[in-house]
Amino acid sequence: MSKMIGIDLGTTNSCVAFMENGHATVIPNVEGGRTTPSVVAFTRSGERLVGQSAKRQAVTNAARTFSSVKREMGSDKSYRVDGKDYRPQELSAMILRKLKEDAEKYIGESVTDAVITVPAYFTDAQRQATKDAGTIAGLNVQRIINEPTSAALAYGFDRMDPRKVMVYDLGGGTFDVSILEIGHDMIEVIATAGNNHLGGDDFDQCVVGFLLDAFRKEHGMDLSKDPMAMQRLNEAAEKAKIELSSAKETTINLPFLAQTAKGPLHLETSLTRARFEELTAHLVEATRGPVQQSLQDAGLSPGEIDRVLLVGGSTRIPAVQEAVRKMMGREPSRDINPDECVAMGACLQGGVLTGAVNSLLLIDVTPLSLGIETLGDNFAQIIPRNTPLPCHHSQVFTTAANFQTSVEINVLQGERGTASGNRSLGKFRLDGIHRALRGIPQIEVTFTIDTNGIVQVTARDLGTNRSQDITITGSGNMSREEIQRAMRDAEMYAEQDRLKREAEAHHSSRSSRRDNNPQDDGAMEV
Amino acid sequence: MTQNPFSVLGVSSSATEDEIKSAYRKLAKKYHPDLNPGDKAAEQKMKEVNEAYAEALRLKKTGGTWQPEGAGGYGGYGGYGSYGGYGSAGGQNGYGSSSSGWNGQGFWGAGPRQSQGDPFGFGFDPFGFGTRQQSTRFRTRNYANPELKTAENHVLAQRYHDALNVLNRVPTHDADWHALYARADYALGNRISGLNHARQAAGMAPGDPDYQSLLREMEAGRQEYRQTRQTGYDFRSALCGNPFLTCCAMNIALNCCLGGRFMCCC
Repeated sequence: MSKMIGIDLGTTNSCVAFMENGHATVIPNVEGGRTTPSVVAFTRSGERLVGQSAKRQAVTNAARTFSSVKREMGSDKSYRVDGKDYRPQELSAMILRKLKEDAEKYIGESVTDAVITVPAYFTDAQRQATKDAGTIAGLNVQRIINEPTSAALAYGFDRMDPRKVMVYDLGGGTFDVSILEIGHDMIEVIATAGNNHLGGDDFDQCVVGFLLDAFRKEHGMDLSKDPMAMQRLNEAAEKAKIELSSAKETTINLPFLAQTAKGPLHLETSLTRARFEELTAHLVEATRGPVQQSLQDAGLSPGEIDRVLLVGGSTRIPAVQEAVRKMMGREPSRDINPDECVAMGACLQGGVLTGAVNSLLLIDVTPLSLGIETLGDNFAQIIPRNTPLPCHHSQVFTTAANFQTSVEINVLQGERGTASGNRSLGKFRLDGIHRALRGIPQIEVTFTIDTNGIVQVTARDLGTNRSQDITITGSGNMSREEIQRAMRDAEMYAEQDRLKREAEAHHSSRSSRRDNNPQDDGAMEV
Repeated sequence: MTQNPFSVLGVSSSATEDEIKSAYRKLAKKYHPDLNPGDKAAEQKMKEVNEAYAEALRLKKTGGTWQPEGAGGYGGYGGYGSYGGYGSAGGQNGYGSSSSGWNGQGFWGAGPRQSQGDPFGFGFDPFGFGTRQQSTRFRTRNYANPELKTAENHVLAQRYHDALNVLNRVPTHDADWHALYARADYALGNRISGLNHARQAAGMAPGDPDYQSLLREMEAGRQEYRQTRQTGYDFRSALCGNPFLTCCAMNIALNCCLGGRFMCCC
């Protein structure tokens, strides 16, 4: 059996790990970094770059470089390059394929099975999209697991004394809070809450706004329409943010940022930590709601939580740590690596599935309530949030009108009271209901959420005992044919890339070797 | 769910939360699909166990008791997927291909609102197939505050405690708020407080026929309650604990008042 890898497919950085002699081990990429930037680029010469090399050339090739694709997973967005449209799944698949190939090189054997992590607060469509991305990359996705749960697994694996743990996971693009009970050989998620669009990227954007303002004040010029300048500002903002985690003040120096008739314009300014905290206070504050909701759902007070784990690069921001300290009334733990623990937990879960890890069971919950739309924009809840997985619920429905032969069901996920306030997983139509007076037909609809958090719906006419499997596909999801086509495309590109690399290797082996592989600077996910 | 959640978990209905948890963990270790790859029967069992666990914990938290489906007087079928609050949505799903108008009943509505001549949204079911419940008597409303909509959904799904939790967080107490509070509180057996809130709602919105009828029904319900006690049948616990019977009682009261235009089918 081939090795199972665990992949943390992050918004800004990804990480891959595998089980080596009973321990979770992070696999460095071929550039030497322990995490790989989640960036994909298409060069003018038609080459595809993934990871550090893509990130490095982003300034000069901004329009053809894509980052934070994870934020669009499950949506119907597409990215157009050279007349071809790429779905977020396909771009994510390119990152996954690189991680897979790097893992194969490191382990020295082929890798086909993987556990991939997603933010706990991901919807069904986003999970399905992630699974599809894995398929396109040529991986058998054995499990989709939640990032905070995965982090807790890495933390709790060899510390099985019973305790209640809160995971505060602020990554590059998403925020999750989970409360778990770590017991003897079992980890149980009690409650999960979060925000799918809150992360380090938003902190960067605040700094970019500050820099744009500074430039406008000094030169009276708006740079927000200049893609290359924006790319440089984004990079400078991220760098400044990271520096402010250890320094009290940082300078931002961007020469030749714009060109005018009078000559080149430069940006030179400084940013203090205090000013940065002012700019981003609303983001830190926005993490409070999910923390409180998870505590309330778990029926626990902050004092009853034994440990608070910080996960995700953004938890390095001092103001974030201070906010957690205040909310929870205790010092958060620092004994896990916030960038690597998610991938390590994923490979441990892989070990459970293959039997390599014994006596460990992880029970996760569904983060979002599942329900259906009823008349008057109502959301009728069927499976409440925080129900352990896998779970199912059946309900019998009948018709409202005489001789009604079909019904349409809109399946929704979310916590809002109104149907329109929640995310639709898709609609399905149930046809062929026996003609009868209203109230007579009995149709049993079963909603199932599997251990990946993916929803399935089946319907059965109890009168005729005819059952119908329904796959709900939201607009953001790819059909089976689309996935297969994307797989073929991906394999074709991979083959082209391989040939190109071999040609280069051949070329370079003949020329004298000058540079040792430049060591990656271990980019962190912020 | 057709099975008693406590018996699925192998504990008595008086088990403590810790006992429930420990029983659940034992079963999870036995049946979880991660530990039984490819075993469909085990997976099915785990789904049942998870459903039972969620339900048992919910019952413990709300102090409710499990009742087999249909026991609440579900008309002819008695299988309409409801026990307590969890699956009670089964009784009130107004599915419609037309999304206009309102339709408080548990049907997939393809056509127009079916219960003409029913000013209170009672939505009687002449065939007695009994999908309607007490909670569906009121038309759903458009609330300015989404929290109130959430509370209403909790009321419709008979998660009255959840509804009160949501309402307690809302700072402004208008007529809508009082009406929802009244419905939830009344259904939980806090009849005096429920009635007071209904009075406030009716007082604050004198022109709202729904809230006037809400108050009338609650007052009528109280009378009915007195009468049934006099007859010697102990409705007391049944009325408090069972919303369907409360509904029945109120229906009867209303039928008397309005000349029996409405049919009781719960």
